[in-house]
Amino acid sequence: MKRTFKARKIFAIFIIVLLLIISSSNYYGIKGIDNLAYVVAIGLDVGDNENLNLSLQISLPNSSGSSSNDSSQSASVVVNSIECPSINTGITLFNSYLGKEVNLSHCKVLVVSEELAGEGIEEYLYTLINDVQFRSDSNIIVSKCDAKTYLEYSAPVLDKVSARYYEIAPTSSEYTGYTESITCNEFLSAMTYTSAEPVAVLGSINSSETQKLPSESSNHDSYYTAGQTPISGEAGVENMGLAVFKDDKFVGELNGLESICHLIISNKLKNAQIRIPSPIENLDYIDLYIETEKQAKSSVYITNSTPYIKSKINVNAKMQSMNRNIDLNDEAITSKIEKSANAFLEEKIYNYLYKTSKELNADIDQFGLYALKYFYTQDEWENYNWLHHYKDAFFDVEVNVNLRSSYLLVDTSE
Amino acid sequence: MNYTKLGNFEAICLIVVLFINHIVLNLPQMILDNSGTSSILNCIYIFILGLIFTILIVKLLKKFSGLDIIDISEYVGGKFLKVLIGILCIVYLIMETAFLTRMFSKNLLLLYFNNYPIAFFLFIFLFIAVVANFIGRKSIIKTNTIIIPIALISVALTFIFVVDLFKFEHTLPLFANGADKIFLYGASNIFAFNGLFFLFFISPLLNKKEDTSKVAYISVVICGILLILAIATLVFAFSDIYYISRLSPIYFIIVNSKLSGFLERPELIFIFIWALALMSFISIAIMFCINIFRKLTNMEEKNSKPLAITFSCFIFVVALIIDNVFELEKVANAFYKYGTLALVFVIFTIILILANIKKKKL
Repeated sequence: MKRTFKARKIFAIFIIVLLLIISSSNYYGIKGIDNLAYVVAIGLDVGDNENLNLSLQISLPNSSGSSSNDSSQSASVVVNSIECPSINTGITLFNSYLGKEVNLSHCKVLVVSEELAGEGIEEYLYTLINDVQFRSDSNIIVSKCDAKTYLEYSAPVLDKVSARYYEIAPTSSEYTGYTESITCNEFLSAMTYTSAEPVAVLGSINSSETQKLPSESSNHDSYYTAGQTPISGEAGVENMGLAVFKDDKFVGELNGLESICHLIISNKLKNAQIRIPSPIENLDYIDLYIETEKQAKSSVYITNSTPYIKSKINVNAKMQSMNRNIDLNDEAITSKIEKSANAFLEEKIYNYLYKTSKELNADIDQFGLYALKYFYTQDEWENYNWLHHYKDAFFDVEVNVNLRSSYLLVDTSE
Repeated sequence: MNYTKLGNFEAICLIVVLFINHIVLNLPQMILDNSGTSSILNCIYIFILGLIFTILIVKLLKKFSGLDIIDISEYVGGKFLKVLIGILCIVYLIMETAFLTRMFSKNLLLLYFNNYPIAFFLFIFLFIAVVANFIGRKSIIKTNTIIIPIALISVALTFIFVVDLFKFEHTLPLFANGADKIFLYGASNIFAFNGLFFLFFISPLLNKKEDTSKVAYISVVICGILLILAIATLVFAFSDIYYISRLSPIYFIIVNSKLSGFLERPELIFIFIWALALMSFISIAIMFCINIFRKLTNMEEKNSKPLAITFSCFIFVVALIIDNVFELEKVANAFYKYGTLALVFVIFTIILILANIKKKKL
């Protein structure tokens, strides 16, 4: 009995000593904040001499706790770039240059230049996803300017910490609908699907030189794409519209309104604002704040190998515009507004769908999923090749706008 | 022989522990690789097969209440068969534990401890199992009954986290790689119910021997539901993406779920729970190895505790035999599938059938 007790005592001491040795051991080099360079954004451009120009936006240690006038970009982050044959060699060169180990675990965004996206980004995306540190929930942005310039201009005006800025910025799509928050994982999923194509956020820098009004943009803010919005203020980046991909190659862009159409069709719209021609006196245009009432119902029929796609969309609207002598209690007026909104949205959605089909040949709304029911095996489906047939698709869209309310004013008639 | 007696709940947790460890590692991946979008259909099918198999085993075991497969082997083929089956069971448990521990440690190293040697993690896991076996069987079983429900909840929760991503069209084409891949070749996926291995040892351990059937059915239903839930989560939410995710699909779900919106690293909580489940399984596996060895050699219980060190050394060595990870995955997956099918679903069943025939003749 005594011997057993002694053996247990020795055993317990052995465990305690072992745990102490392990916990206090520094043999394998525990890395702290001083040894690491935390990357908040990665930029990829086509290189002049090498395949790639890799830019990293690196957070400066303790920048979040700095004084109030340190809110500028230069105070919180630093952007470095390097010409390299691959992402991994670039990061290794950065390690040697910075004297700290580059760490991607806090990276929030991957920015790819339009030029590189046009050549294909599959290899870079797979390489990054293969990296343990890289989070696949980082957003992916296609920049109309150089990725390096995008990162240099991405000053968080209303935020002090870049990482937080990158976390919050994509959520603006929830109340504007002008773009969509796309993660690398979502992009990769869509890229590997045999029934859909991927999209990415479209971004650019916004300055007086980039602000060119598109021909049809008068009275419609939603016709702009990234970098075109006539905003005067501190030069910064702007995410507006979507970059459309065919496989891994960038093939075209969608403006703000087309992005709203995409979100409506793919049931991702939370809220958005549209401007429709006014059917009533006292107003030339009416601003409506819209949300989808229930999920858009899409069906696909295949006739002689040609897809026929039907979509039924229900939208709730709130009237934002108001003027004197408008009585929204009058059913005739609300009905007119609803009809005008129906016609406007139907036209825009038709245009959008035919653009994705005929011009871009990219099923970014995942209509292919609704065609899968006609095929029993994967081989049958792959032999049909949905993504090839999507360019032959024709559409039937039915929009039903329900004007539910205004805000504070309902009847301004005298 | 003196055994620690089990309540029904403890016995169910004992059967489920192996299944849980497989499902958080690569079981969903193996089924998805085989059946693609029709994996849910395949899971329902193997669940039905699993239930039929369990009914059969329970029926066959009925005449041998209070005996385990080692005793039954002795009854059928004498000492020779008893030793042969005993050795097979020990080898099976050692290899199963070694591969599971190695795969889990490999994932841990890959994700969080890049510079650490894998032997260090294997040592920690095995050391804990040895200590647990020295402390006693009762503590192992009681700890297992705490860990397993938590691990089950953690797997079930993944379903809720990604429910917003669900698209039922992801299950189409209905027959994916062909009906034969679901119903013919897919039948081999019944190995998913490998926890039934312990069912053949549980009868003498139960407090109420007549509850063997109850324990078996509840365990299979829990495993079946959880398997369907895990596969449905992956298929409904991610469809084709699993082709490129080679780590653990359940880990992949958590990393990409809404949970990461308000927790920076939610997967760490889950990995911790799964690590506990693995430790629990290693302890149980070593405990069963000792039990079987004692049966084969008629060793007294008081002398058997140091055997925990011996068996953990075997596990340590087997875990490190294959250095190349690609090779390891191939061998481990083949062993999980064909090893389980051969031992649990073929050899054990044949022995039980022969034992029943012999009993009938007598």
